[in-house]
Amino acid sequence: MKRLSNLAGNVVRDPTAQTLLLAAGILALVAVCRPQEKSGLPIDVFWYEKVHFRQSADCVLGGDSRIMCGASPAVIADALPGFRVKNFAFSGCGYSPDYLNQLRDVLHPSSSQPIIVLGVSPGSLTRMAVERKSGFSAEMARRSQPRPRPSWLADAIQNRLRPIPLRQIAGFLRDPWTKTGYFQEHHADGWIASQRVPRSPTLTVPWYRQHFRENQVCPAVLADLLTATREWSSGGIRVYAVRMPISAELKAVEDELAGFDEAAFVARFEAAGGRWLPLNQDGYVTGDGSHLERESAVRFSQWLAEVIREDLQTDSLFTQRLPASRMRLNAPVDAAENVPISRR
Amino acid sequence: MLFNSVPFLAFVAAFFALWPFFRGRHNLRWGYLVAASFVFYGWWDWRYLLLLIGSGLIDYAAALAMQRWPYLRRLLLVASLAANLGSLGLFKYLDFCIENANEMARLAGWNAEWPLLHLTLPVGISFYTFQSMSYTIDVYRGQLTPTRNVLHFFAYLSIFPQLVAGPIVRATQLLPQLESQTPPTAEQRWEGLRLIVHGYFKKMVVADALAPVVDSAFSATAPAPSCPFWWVVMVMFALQIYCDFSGYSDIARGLGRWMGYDFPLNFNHPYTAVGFRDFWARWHISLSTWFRDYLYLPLGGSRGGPWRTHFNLWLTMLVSGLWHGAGWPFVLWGALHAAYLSLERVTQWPQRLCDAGMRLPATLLTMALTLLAWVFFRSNSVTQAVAVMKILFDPSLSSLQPLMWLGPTNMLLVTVMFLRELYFWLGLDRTPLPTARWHVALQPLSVALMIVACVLLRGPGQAFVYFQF
Repeated sequence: MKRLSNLAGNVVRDPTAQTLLLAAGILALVAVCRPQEKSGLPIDVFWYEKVHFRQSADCVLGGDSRIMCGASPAVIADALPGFRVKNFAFSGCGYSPDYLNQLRDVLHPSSSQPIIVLGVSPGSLTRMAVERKSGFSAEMARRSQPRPRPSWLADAIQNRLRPIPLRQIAGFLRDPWTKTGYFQEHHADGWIASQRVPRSPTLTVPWYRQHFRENQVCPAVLADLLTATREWSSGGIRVYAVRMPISAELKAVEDELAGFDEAAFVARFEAAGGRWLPLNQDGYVTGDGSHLERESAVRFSQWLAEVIREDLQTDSLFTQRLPASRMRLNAPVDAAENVPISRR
Repeated sequence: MLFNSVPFLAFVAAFFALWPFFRGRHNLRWGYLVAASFVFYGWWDWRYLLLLIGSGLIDYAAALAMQRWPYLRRLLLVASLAANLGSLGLFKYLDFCIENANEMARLAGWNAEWPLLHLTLPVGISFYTFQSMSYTIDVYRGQLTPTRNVLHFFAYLSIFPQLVAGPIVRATQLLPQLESQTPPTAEQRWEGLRLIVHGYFKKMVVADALAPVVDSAFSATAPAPSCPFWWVVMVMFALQIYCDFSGYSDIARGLGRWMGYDFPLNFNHPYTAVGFRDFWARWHISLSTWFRDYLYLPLGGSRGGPWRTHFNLWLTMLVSGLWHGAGWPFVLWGALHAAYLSLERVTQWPQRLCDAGMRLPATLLTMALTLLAWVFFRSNSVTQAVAVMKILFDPSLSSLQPLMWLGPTNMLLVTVMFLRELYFWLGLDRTPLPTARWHVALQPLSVALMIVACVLLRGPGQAFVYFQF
C-alpha cells in the first residue's frame, strides 16, 4: 500500500505524468459535455447499408449531398403507400455512367412502377464531380468489405472528440448556452437529416464561387445523363428531375458562373423522356446555403411525393396497383424499412 | 504506421510499457528494439520489410568484410552502394527513366513505347537507404568500427521513430547511445513530451488544415488568375511542408528522448534564414549535412577553385532535387536552389545587406525566393509551375476575391505561424525563461492544452508529405 502511494506521489510530481493526466481529464470532460452531432445509424454502418441498396426500391432518389440531405424516403413513402423508397445520393456525387448504372440497380426488377428522381445541381454535372475519388467512389469500396461493427473508440474519435471549427469556438464564447454545431441524423433509408446552428446561408458561397470558376457544367456529363434518361424512360421507368432548393445568394452564383442553362436542360431532359418538376424555391431554409435543414427537407419531400402522386394518378398502372382510398397524403405505411430510425 | 493514427498510439503505448523492462537487459534490448521497429514498418506492407532487411544485410556484411579484407574495401563499397542505389533506382527512378526514354524516342522519330512498371515506392526507402550507405562509407573511411552483432546493426538502421522520414542519423552518433542502459531522466521525459506535442501540433493543427487548400489550388484545371492569391497559397504551402516535416522530426526526436536517446536537430526555423547557405543550415539539416559529407566534400567541395566549386554545388543540389522526387519539377527546384547558392557565393548579398543594417529585407528576400522555388516543388508538372510563376509576376492579376476562398481559419493559422517565426527571428527564445514557481507550474497546463488542441482542432487527416520521398 505504501509502495503504491509512493508511486502515485511520484506520478503526481512528474510534469510528464501531470500533463498527460491533465490533457486526458480535459478531453474526457469535453467528450462528456459536448452536444453530440451525429445520431441515428453509426456513420460507417450508414454508408455500408447505403452502398448495399440493390434491387430493393420502387423509387430511388439520386444526386449529390443536396438531395442526400434534402429528401426523406420515409416522408415520400408516407404519401406513396406501398412504394419502397431509397435515397441513393452521395456527397459531391457527379452523374457518371457508373453512378447512373448503380442508381438504376437500386430499383427492384419486379417493381410495377419504378421511379427515379434526380436531384439536379450544376455541381453534379461537372467533370470534377464525376472524377472525384471521394464520396460515391470511395464509399462503393465498402461493398467488398465486411459490415462494420460500431466501436466506442471510433465513436469517440469521429463523434465525441471530433474537430471543433474555430467559428464554433467563437460562437461558444459569445453564447455558451446555445448548442451550436452541425447536427446530422443518419437514416437507414439513406437520408441524412441535418441542422446547422447557427444557420449561415452564405457559408458555401465563396467555395462555390471559386469552384465554378474552374469547373463548369460539362456537356459530356450532361449527355451521359440524358442518354440514361432516354434508356430508362423507354424501359418503363418514370424519371423525374428537380433542381434542389438552395439559398438565393448561392443560386445567383450558380446561375452566373456554373454554365448551367436550366431552360435548355429542361427541354433536353423532357425530350429524352424525363419529367421536370418545377419547384417554387421560396420558403425553403438551408443551413449553409446549399443543404436543406431538416424541416425544409421534410417539406420538400412532402411536395415531391405530392407531385409524383398527382403525376401517377393519371397512370393506369399506378391506379390499378393501389386502391383509390389509399391514394392520399400521409397514408399509413407498413414497410419497416421506410420508417425513420428515430420512430422505430 | 502513421504517427497520427490510432494504431501508432496503441503501438507506442505498448512499446513504452515494456521498454523499462527490456532496456536494462543487454541482449533482449536489441531484439526488442528491432522487433518493434519491424512491426512498425511491416504494418504498412510486410513484404517491403524484406527489402529493408535485404539491403541492410548487404551493408552489414559489406562493412564486416571491409574490416576483414581491407584491400577489398573499395570493391566492397562499390558493391554496397550499387545495391542501395540499385534498389532506390528500381523503385523510385525507373519509371521516370522509362518515361524520358519514351519521350526521347518520340522526339527522335522512333515509335518506341516501353511500358511503365508502376512499382509502389516503399515508405521511407530514401531515408533508410541513405542511413545505411552512410554506415558503409564511414566504415570505408575508417571513421567507424563495424558492429559484429546483426541486431545492433538493425537497431541502428531501423529504430522506429526515425525510420521512415528521418532525421537521418549517423551510426557514429547513434550506436554508442544504443549501448547505454541508463533510463531517461524526468527532464528527458518532459523534454520528449514537449517535442512530441509540438510536433503533433505542427502536423495535425497547422499542416493538416492548410493541406486541403493548397491541394485544391494545385488540382484546379487552370490556376486561379490572381497574383495575391498565389503568393498566399505559396506561403501556406511553405508552412504546410515545414510544419509537416519538422513536426515529424520533432515527434521522432521526442520519442527518442523517451527511449533515452538523442536524435539530431533537423529543422532550426528555416524561414528566419538570411540567405541560402543559412537556409540549408536550418532546413532538413540531417539530409543537407549528409550531402555535404558524402557528396559535396568528396567531389572537392570548395577546394578546387571557383568554377569547380560551383560545379560541385550544382551537382549536389541537382541530386538533392532528384532525391526528393523522380520528376523534372524536383530537378528544377534543386537547380533553382543551386542558382541561389551560386549567386550568393559570388555576391555575398546576405552579408552585405546585414552589414548595411538590412537584416529584415534580407530575410524577406530569402523567404520570397524560397517560395518561388517551392512552386516547382509542389507543382504537378513543369507546365503548371510555369503557369503559376507567370501569375505570381503579373501585377495586373490583382483580384483579391479568390483570397476569400482560402478561409479565415487558414489565414489565422498563417498569422500565428508568422508571429511564431518572428519570435525566433527576433531572438526572443534566447531570453532566459522566468523561473518563478507559477511559471513552472503553468508549463504542464500549456502543454496539456496543446494536446487538447491537437485532438479538437485537428485538420482533415493527411499522410506526412515526406513519406513520398
